[in-house]
Amino acid sequence: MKNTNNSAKVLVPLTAGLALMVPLFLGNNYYYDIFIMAGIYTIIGSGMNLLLGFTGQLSMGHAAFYGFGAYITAIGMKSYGLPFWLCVILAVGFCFAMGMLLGSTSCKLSGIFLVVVTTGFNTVVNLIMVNWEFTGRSFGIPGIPKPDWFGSPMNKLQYCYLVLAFVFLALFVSYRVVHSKTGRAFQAMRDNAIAARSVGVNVNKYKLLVFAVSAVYAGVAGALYASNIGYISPTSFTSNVSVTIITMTVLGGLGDLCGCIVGAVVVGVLMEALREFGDYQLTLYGVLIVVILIFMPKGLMGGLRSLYRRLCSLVSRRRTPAKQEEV
Amino acid sequence: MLLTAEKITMKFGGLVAVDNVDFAIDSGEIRAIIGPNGAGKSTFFNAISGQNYPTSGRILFDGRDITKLPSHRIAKLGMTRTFQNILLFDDMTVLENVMVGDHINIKTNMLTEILCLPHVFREERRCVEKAEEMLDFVGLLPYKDQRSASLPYGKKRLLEIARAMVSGPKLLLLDEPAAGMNAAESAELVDTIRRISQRGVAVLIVEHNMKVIMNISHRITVLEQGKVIAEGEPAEIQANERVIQAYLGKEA
Amino acid sequence: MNLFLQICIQGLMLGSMYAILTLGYNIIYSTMGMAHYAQGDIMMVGAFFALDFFVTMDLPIYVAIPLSVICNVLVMLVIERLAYRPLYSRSRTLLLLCTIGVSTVLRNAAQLIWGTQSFNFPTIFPGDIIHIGEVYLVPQNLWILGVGVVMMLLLNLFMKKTKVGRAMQAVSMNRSAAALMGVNMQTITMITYGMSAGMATLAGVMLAPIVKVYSTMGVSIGAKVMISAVVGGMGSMPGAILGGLLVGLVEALGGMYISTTFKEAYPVVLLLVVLLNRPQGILGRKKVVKV
Repeated sequence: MKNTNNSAKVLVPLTAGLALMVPLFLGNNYYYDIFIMAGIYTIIGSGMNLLLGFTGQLSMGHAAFYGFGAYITAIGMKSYGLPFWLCVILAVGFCFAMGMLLGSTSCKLSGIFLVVVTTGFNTVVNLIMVNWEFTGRSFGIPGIPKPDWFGSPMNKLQYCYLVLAFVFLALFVSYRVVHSKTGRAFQAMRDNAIAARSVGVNVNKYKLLVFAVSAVYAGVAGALYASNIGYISPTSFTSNVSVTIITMTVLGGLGDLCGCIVGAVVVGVLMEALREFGDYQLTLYGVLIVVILIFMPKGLMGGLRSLYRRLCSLVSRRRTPAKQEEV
Repeated sequence: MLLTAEKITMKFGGLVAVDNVDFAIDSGEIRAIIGPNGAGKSTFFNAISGQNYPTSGRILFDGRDITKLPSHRIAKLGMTRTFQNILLFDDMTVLENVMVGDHINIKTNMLTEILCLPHVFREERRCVEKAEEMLDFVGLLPYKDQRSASLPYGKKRLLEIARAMVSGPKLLLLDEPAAGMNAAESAELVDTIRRISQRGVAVLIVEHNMKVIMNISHRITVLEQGKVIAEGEPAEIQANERVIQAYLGKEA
Repeated sequence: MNLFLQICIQGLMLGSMYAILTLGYNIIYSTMGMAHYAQGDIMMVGAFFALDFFVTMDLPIYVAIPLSVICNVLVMLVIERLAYRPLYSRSRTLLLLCTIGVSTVLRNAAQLIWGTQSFNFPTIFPGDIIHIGEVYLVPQNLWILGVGVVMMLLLNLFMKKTKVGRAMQAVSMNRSAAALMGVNMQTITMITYGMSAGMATLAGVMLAPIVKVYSTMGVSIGAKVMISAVVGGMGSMPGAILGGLLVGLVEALGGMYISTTFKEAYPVVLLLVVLLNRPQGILGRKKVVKV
């Protein structure tokens, strides 16, 4: 236990430093975009991880929240000329409220019931996006501006750092929540709701809370996505996208804070690497989910951790007999 | 009286599981509820702690009406419990399990936790200390970093007790705490329950193990087919004709 | 009024197919205790098999349908062996995630094999439109309705009268007790999935001429199947029929009288209305959690 804590003290600043350096060496817009998407996936993935990994609730409606964030930013910046930060705040507020609304169903439902309701939610939201004049119908919204940076629009490099700042914020918030009373309550109600209630955890309150918070993560990710890509359409927010979000989370490791980084990077990079095989991409996601669930229930990150532990014990085992020989 | 239950009746469909039961327990007391299988002990227990609501009747705890309160509110008022079939948080460590037990006493919320206000860390440290002290109390401190699912059966029961005790309740409900324990383990349990009582906590036990019951309880309430048939000190109960009949009658 | 009647028949026809699919879904739910998210996609695969055998290879229909049923059952059994069986002993959430993964695989593998376009499927039951008063009836729809009813009756008979059917009911009531009483769980598992896939194939073949065959046809139909199951009551056989018919009716009536744009949304509204009033579904039994 102590061993991993010590290694975390080294690994966290190392990873953060690496992440800060990477954009400097990317060089062209294509790589910037991959980096930005990996960051956006990390944010949305850590939100999903709070919900699925720490409270064990499955939402197939997160693409809708992602869409809310994107559409609010697109419409706010383009039609009303609002600054980016204000759009993000609006997205956060709206997603929090909608997350509460969808979360209120989770107080009564779980498992497949929740999946059915959240899928339905995503379907309805997507239908509205496709059919409403205000959201540009199925064509979507083109020409979304970049945020301002001291009077001029941000370039891709600056945008990388903006995304990175949000990633750090998202991970920090997750870390704080998980390592405190709220996070323990989340895990307690995941493991056993009746027992959690018996020690005074207001399960319904925390269910609403976690839904709302993870919706906020998705909303922020959506805002970042819209402003980066400059053009959004309803196809980016179907329940297929919810499946992608879940894939990342499972891939990285359920209930593992670092997992969503691994998941997001793998999926973000895979998505690009497999662009040529575009058709195989989603098939591969499905296969990945199944394989990971069966062989690595704690995800890639869990696999890495146990590998690290095995290496450590291997090293220490090698050392002990060596000393005995000296004696 | 710490807890008073007046005319509690619980019906499931046509079945009357608990029938017009009056019951009271004083603070500091160790009280046992016994009775043959299906006498309605666990059902009565669940009614008191808010897992199920009684069909009719009234429950007062510490002067407050808790009849229709959900179980997390009842826990907040100072009544916690363990479960017959052991409900732990399997994927959390032993220490974390006990820390969840202190949930109601930690004065932070998600916003203050994210903002890292100084009192958050103070509360967290205090919670860890309290939890470790409680683990020491039941003798589980050496296991604190293990996953709770990996504990042996008897230790799981003790962990459940630690989780229920850490918040400093006024009344502790134990649902068959000695079930599946061997002689050494149940002796340890008796000792733990005694020490809990010495801390001024009232204990209410449902149990089948007569040795444990006769050993520790101050008073015993006997239920049969949802009705109270006897109440008194262990010696009185052992001599009570109706109780003997209820038990023997069932076995005969 | 006549229009209303006609729409109702249309809705019931669709609904009877949803009911068949939901029955397959519910068999898995009650026997295996798992929600099979990929049910709609299994139906899609069945429809594609039928398309291959009936249209591409031009086999006679009475050969094509049994052949596609067999192929699809085999596909289902392979999936069960490879993907689901290793997870039975783990948490239900993981199993549910796994079925979602399987559904993604099927959907996209189908796209790779058969392409993204939708294929027309010829009517299996030709015939002239029947006029009864001012109500127009397409014979195909009547056939579908008929086949649906016959299948429901057969399933009911199977569950009540045969040894295997009764064993399946026993397993759904108490898994471990049934295993102790000598029910071979492996056989029951395979029969359960096989039946479910077979029924899904038949429903797929019936629906194919109406909705066309395409790789994502399982998405919206699968969603409606799950809605039907929840509306009727998870695991309840009469509930599956009621739920399926209701969803079909709501979809057809909403599409006619409100707007076809939001056709997919009406079942969701029905779902919410039912869940808010009866969380266990119309014919579902309330789950009592014992402490």
